This record gives sequence, structure tokens and C-alpha cells, in this order.
Amino acid sequence: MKLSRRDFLKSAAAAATIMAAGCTPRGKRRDEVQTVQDIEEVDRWEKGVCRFCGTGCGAMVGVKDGKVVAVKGSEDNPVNEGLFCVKGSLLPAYLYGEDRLTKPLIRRDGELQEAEWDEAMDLIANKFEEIIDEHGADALGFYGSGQCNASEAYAYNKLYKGAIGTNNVEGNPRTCMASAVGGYVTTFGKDEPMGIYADFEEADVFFIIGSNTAEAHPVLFNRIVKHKRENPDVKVIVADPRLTRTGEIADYYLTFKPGNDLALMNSMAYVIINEGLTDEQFIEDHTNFNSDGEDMSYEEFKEFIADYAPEDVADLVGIEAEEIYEVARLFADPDKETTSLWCMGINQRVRGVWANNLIHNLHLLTGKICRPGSTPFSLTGQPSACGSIREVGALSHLLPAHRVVDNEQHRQEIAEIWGIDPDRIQPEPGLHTISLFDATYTGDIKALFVMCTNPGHTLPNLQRYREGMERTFLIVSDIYPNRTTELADVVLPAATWVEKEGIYGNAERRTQHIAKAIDPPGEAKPDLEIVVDLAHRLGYQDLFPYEGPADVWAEYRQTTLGTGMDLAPYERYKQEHGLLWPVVDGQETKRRFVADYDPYVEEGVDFYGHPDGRAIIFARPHTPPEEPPTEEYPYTLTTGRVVEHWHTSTMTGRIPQLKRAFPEHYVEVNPEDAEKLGVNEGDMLKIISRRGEITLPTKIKGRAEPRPGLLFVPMHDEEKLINFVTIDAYDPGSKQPEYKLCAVRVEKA
Amino acid sequence: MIIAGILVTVKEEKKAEIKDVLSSFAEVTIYEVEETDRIVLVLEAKSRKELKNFVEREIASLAGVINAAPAYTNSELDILNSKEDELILN
Repeated sequence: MKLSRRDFLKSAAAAATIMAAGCTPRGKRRDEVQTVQDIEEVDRWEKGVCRFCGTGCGAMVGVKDGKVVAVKGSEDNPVNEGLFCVKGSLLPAYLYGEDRLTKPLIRRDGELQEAEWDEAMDLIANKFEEIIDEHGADALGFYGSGQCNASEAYAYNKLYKGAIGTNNVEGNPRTCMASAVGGYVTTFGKDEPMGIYADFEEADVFFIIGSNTAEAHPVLFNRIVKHKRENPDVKVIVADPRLTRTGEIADYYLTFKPGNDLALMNSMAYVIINEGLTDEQFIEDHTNFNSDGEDMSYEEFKEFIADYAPEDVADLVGIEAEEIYEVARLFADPDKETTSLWCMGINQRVRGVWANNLIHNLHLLTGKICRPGSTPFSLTGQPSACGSIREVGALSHLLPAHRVVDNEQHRQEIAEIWGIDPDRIQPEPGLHTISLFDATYTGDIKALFVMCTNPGHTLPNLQRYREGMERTFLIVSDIYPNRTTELADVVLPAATWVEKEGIYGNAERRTQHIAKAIDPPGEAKPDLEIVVDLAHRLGYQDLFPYEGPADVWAEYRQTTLGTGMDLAPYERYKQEHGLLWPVVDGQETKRRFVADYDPYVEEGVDFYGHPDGRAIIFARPHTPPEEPPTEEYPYTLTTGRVVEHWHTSTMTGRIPQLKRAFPEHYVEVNPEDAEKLGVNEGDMLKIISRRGEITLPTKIKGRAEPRPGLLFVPMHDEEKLINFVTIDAYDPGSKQPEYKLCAVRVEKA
Repeated sequence: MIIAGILVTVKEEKKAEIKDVLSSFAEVTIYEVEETDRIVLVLEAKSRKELKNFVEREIASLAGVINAAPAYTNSELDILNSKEDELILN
């Protein structure tokens, strides 16, 4: 048999796909496929996890000549069972952009110039000591990422909160899922979902709201598509002001008026109650009712919800009353299992926590929770927003394992493990993200360390905060130059993904290990080494004795035991394709808050996050967006993701194939609005808000269609920053900004 | 050049028809499998756009296709500049 390199790689691709699918080869190419199975096309395979969205797909990484050249889905990983999305399948390419940062840079005479590590780290440590002496620890801040691994986040959280003594530790998950945290914690008393992805294959009804799952979480979307096609009775409700690709599988598509989804969900609750579709026994046994912090009765809740009859809110919501009746009946059908999915459309709102509460309400009123196929499930946007931020406690109000800084017992428990005086941890939350960056503008934050994220691109109302970052002493650790490194005083070259070892936690409570497969380029270092190095230079050697991520994990794990978020020893994650926490007596937990699954529950359902074991059904009134349209600003702008790119395209923009596929951003306009404005496809349109403006080409019939009055702009473009236009109003509970809605006017440019 | 292995899940009764359509593309090589509801193909794509468009427009849009997902990609020919015609077996 003659086989060229190209043919060999084709056969290897076929063999890997056949193996992932559990198929048996036949026909004329069977021998070829079987032959190549004995020849490795790479030097070795290492176990990893995709580092894009929060799905947490298992990835096997093929290394040849010291470079990652191939990637395949892990067939025995239950998240993706050997399959990928196209973005994940191109992971290797993002490692090899020509402009990778490989040397530390220090700004001198206005220019970033190459420097030695010692020089850069001494500069940072000296600056920190100087600031602490003159202004106190609270003049320092840290902004991390849901892309850091758990050991990195644990280390920087401990450095700031436990050693330096400031709670000014934030991270980009504040801007993407803080409202989901607020929703879970207020309703159930504990953060993170009770269900898992395997519920998808058990569901009869999907209620997808504020999520373009098809583009943002393609592997999960494919699971839903496959399930629906194999089970034609499965129904999908999609609620979104923009008709997206997710709607291609929808049986009901509710293109409601932007910002009115609280009224929509209250109206669904109205129908469920008034048509007797509630699970009265579940409500009686497992719930309490609450309004604005005060207990209320079920009868009082019914009085509250009486204002939301579909006929009364149809105009406000912008859909027919009958549609609300139909989807509410379907959601609550006692013979069906219902799974709800949501993402940024719900979370990035001034009432994001309330919107989350209202999704939970629907499940609690119908008892569709804590059983296979019925669960409210928040999707997350980053690979370890859960594992490294929510669980590690790397936000300004949190401590590890879902503890909070304003709880004395929690501070004592963590101080004991950290080996510090409990008084070292401040009892008040530090600055949340918007306040933190505002404090760079006002001068209260004198130095800010940014790790693995790009706030110079991503913050809303960006102009003010970019000015703030220019004013403060800014350190950035990252892998490519971006819109934040251009503002930095010191840039540190970081290792990424399989250039280092670590652990990620995905959206379904699955904790997964990523092996180191290759060395980082040049002088780039893992962020954990950078944090430990800084801690040592600041004199905290005794608190940071770690030699690697496993040492950090061993300490972190101690904080989780007995909390309901119990994690396993590091070695188990190295050997397995992830474990769902809590891991108790070596067993993972597929479903929380219910006996026979959750080791913390002895009988029936127990929402043990609340002292009485009951979840709370909240009366949350409809609340409009911070900036509804006006005569002067008659349109609503929303932003979001497209499948080719991820976040600020720092990585995906380096993949030539992706860049070519989606070279230029645009503003998506409803055809009716385009006609009214007199613009055609490709015409330049200026979008103006109260904060800034941007000019983009018009897209009229693209991959999606906003409802009239709504404009959509993808958020990824590094050159034309849409966040000069977006609003920085935030949810008073979660402090998450309302990226999804602001008022704009448009002019033909 | 990206070489991608793609699993296509189909309705059994449509498999032959779908396979015939996919076989007509020069950049596609079908690898036969025993399973009656699966097609394994290898796509040689010059770009991500080609890969994406092919999966979405040429495969997923076909009547009877339940799902199409990449399972494997190899970018060695780009990243290491390997010689395509170097003989592995002779």
C-alpha cells in the first residue's frame, strides 16, 4: 500500500472519527484505515479541554516536533463524546500567531520595550510596596479571568485577599455570569446548577431564553438538535428579540420587545397558576415566597402575578397573548420534562438576578426540577468561569468554595487553611468590576494587575475606563498584544492552554484536568509562576510554598471539603475525563438537592442552601432597561457573539481561517428599519449613543434578524470597539453591566 | 490545508442519497462504515470558511441529516509545512 503524508493524514482523520463514533469501517478504504490505526500521525497525544466557551469539551491534543498539530474530541468524555464545533476543532492554530508575546515588556519613554523577567517583576513588586506604604492595600486591584485555571485563580485570590490584604479582586465573569450566580444563590441558597448536560437527552421541552446557543455553544446545540431529530415530539421554545440560528429548531419563537422578558416570564407564571398547571405538593413541601426581602404567602404571590395576564402584557412584551398561553402550557405540561437554558441575554441586564429568579420560579411552580430532564441550567461563556472564579471565589465579595468575605465564620475557615490571622481578610467586599475600573479613573486605584483578559476592549462605556487604565500603573499578563496591553506599563508574556498544566471547571460542575503538552514560546511563563514569583518578591514565601498546580490544588481542595462543593484529589482528575462535584467518598454527583443522587440529601428534595431546605419563589416585577428607547435615541442596541470568533478575537483573530471567514464586523438591521433609514446592504451606518459612536457596514439579511427597532453588533472587533457605545449601568445585586441593551440613534454615514 | 474528519448522523432511509450527494464533492472522501445511520467523511479545506460552509451548507442542510460535527482536525501541513507527497508507506 502506497500512502503519501496527505493521504495518511486523511486516513488518520477518518480513523479518529470512526473511533469517536464507535463505528466499524468497511469497503475499499477499510484496510487503509486499519493500517493507519497502528501508525501515530503525531509523536504523542495529551488530554486537554477546549479553552473557548464554557461547555468544556474534552480535547485530545496531538503533538509533533514539539508543536500542537492536531486535535480530536475525546470520545469517552461525556460532554462532547468525541465531537467538536468548528471553533474548537481549530484550536492548534491560535497558539502560533506571529505576534505571540515572548518577552516581558516595560514602558519606557512612552514605548513598550523588551525587558528581563527580573527587571519587570522587581518593578512591579517595588511599585506595589510603594503604593501600599503610601496609600494602603486598597489602592491595589486585580482583574482576572474565567480563562485562568483554578490554581492560578486560587493563588492570585489568596495573594490579594490573604497576603496583601485587599478584596479588590475581580474578574471578567462579573461581566458574564454574576447575575446567574445571584439567581442561584438567592433562589436556592447555593450557586451553580443542580442538573447536568445529560438532562438534555431526557428533556421533552426546551425553554431557551437570551441565548444564541447555536453560535455560542454549538456542541450543546448539536446535542439538542440530535435529541429533537431522534424524538420528533421534543419541542423547543426560543425567546429572543433577535431571530438567530438557534431559532432554526424552534417550534415557538418569541421575538419579544427587548428588555421585557421579566413581564414575559411573569405572564407565563400567571398562566401556569391560573390554569392549574402548578405542582401544588412540590410548592407546599419545598418552597417559600418572598417579595423585596419580605416573606409573602402563596396567595399574596398570586395577587402579585395577577397583573401579568397575557392579554395585559402582550403589547408591552410585543407578542400575541395566545403565544404566551401556548408556551406556558407547554412548559408546564405535567407529562413532560422541561429544561431551561439561558445566557448573556438574561444575565447582562440591570435586573439580571431578577430575570434568573423568574426562570427558577417557573421550574419551582411546576416542580420541574431535580429530576432527569427537568432543570434550570445557566450556560456560561468561558471555559472556567465556574471552576476558577465562582468556585475559587475570585470576585471581590467571595472566598473559596462559595464562601463570602462578609461572613466571619467563612473568613476564619479560610484564614486557618491559608495560615493567616483572620483579621487579615477584610470583612467588606472589595470594589466590583465597574467600581474598580472607575477607581482607576478617579485615582483611587494606583496599580491594577490584569491577567488573561482584555478589559481595554470589553468594558462598557469604554472611553472612561480606558482613560483610567492609562492613568494607573497597569500590568497585563497575556499571550498576544491587545487593546489592554497597549495601555499597560508592564506586559508579561504568558503561557496558555496546553503550554501549562491546570484544571478547568465547566458549566455543569464538571472539573477537568488539562495536561501540559508543549513548552510555551520564548520566555512566556504560566500565570501561576508569575503570581507565586510576585508573592515571593513581596515577602510572602511562607504563604506560597507551591512548586506547581498540584500543590495549590491540594490546599484549595481543603477549602471545599464538607461544603457541598467537595472536590477530588488532583490525581483523579489527571486520570479521568472530569468529575461532577460534589465528589464525596470518591463518587461524583449527577444531580444536586435530591436524594439518591446528592450525598448531602437523605430523603426527597432538600434545597439545603437555605436553612429550612426550601427554595424561594420571588415576586419580581417587570423592570424596564436602564436606557429604553426615546425620541432622540429611538433604537435599542444589543451585542453578542458569532460562531467564528470568541470574546475579543485575541485568539481567534490569529487563526487565519477564522479571520478570513469573518473579516469585518457589521450592524445587523431589520429589513423594515433599513427601508425606513434608506440603507442597503453594505451602506455605512453611524450608531450613536449617549456615550460614543461607531460606524459600521449595514447587514440586512445576514445570519440573523433583529426585530424592528433592535440593532445587533458582534462584540469581537479589535479595531472598531462597540463598547464605546454600550452602557455601564449594572444590576444592583450582581453588579453585572447591562451590555445587552442601550438606546442609540443611527445616521447614514 | 486543514484535514478534518466529520461525523454525519443521518436518517437510515436517506443514507444512500446523502452519501451520493457528498461523494460528488472533490474535497470530500467518504469512508464507508457498517452503521446504517452514520457517514464518516474527510474534508480537505483550504480555510475555516470552507470547513464551516461545507458543514453547514452542504451537509447539515441536506434532507435527512440529523447532525454533522467535526471530530478531528489536523493542521500539520500548515503548522509544520510538512511535505504532502512524502511517502509514509510504500
